[in-house]
Amino acid sequence: MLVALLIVSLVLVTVYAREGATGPIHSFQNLFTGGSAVVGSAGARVGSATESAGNSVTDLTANESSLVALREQNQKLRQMLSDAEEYRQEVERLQGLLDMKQVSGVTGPVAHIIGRSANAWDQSITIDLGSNDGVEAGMTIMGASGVIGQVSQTAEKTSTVRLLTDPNSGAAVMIQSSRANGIVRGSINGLLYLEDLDEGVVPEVGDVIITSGLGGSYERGLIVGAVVNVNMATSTTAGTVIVSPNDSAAMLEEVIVVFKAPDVAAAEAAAARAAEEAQQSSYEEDEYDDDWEGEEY
Amino acid sequence: MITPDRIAIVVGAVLAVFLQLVLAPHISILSAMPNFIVIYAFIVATSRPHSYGAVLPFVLGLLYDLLTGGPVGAMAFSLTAFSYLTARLLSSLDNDTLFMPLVLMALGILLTELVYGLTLLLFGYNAGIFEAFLYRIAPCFVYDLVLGIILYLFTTRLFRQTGTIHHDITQLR
Repeated sequence: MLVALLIVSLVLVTVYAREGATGPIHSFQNLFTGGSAVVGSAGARVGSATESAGNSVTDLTANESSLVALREQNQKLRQMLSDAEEYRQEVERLQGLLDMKQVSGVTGPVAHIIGRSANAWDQSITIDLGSNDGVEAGMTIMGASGVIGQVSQTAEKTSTVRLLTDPNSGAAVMIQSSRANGIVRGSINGLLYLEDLDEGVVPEVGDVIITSGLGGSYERGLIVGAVVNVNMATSTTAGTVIVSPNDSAAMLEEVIVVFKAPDVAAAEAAAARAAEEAQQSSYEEDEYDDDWEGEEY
Repeated sequence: MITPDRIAIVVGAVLAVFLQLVLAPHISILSAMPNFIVIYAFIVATSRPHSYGAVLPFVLGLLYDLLTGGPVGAMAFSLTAFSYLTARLLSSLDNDTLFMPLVLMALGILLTELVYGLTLLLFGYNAGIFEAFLYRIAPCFVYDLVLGIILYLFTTRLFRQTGTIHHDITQLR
């Protein structure tokens, strides 16, 4: 029996490794991971229900009726205060996301985080929007301050998001000031590293990193973070550059699924055209002034 | 045959899976996240070494792989192999002290986490072996072991009080 089960395990691992992401074992696994997210979110409700039940039992054990009434009233008021605080925080978080949507110009729905990875090796979250809501694998996910990851798997009602800090994550980025291209990669120690920079470019602490859109994996022009540490020789690009992500997924409860990012190229072309037109009109004005001055003579 | 002992083991297994999904992500310390499924399998293996089979760890490992998104079969393999080995070693040693089950549990958990981590690296997990050991395997092993020892002592005491303890761990000192 032991040998048979070990062989079955090895066969499963081998097939899993060889088949693609749409293979039968992967598809079967998707069903389970979607279900596990629902269990995870239900767990939060079970936790609060247990707490309420505990409080009710405590109330019931009181002897004096007035004391009980006061306690109940106090409990209700506390609950209301707690709810109000919860709503206030939610409004604050949603306002942050709304601000980010307006500033970055992205379009897409807000999703709630309903689960986090139950595997220490995997840095991912589960959101409550799936393929039924138009979410597709590869879509960029943003927090209130910037990109946090990418949709890796979708089920009908949920999606799994691989965070940027996962060792298997990578995003094509550029340094906003110098426009130098590179790749931000997650690591097992939780840091983001800026690698494969254009030759001769040495970033400085504080440089803002945005997605470049190269390779098509992430939408272009979205903020990722800022350089916090540079350990690199000036003459070569060998060394390490650490980027601090703008958002920590551990603190997030809602995220934006980016359906469409602003057309950065079109915006840049429009800005260039506007600058050209402005230059042209000022040139014409100068010529007009010269003609006028000529007439005076 | 359905016995109260088997029902208790199945209920415990369901509870372990539930805790892994609901509780474990919220009690991680830095990069260390407890693995209640591994802990439970080793608690059963060390408290019931004579009756411990390969089906329970295989099913638990497979559920872990399916539910947490890892390579399907990886945890099933390492948990089945090392928890079964732990149970067989313990039953052959016939040592009734408290020390030996805990030592074998520690070794078993370490090997399970190690082999699982190495499998992930073989699958292209982007990290070096040393880094993987430092940032995942060792912290998770320590977390699992601490929880495992606490839960082992708790469950053996509980089973002893309720009278459902297996004959081979009644003489714990």
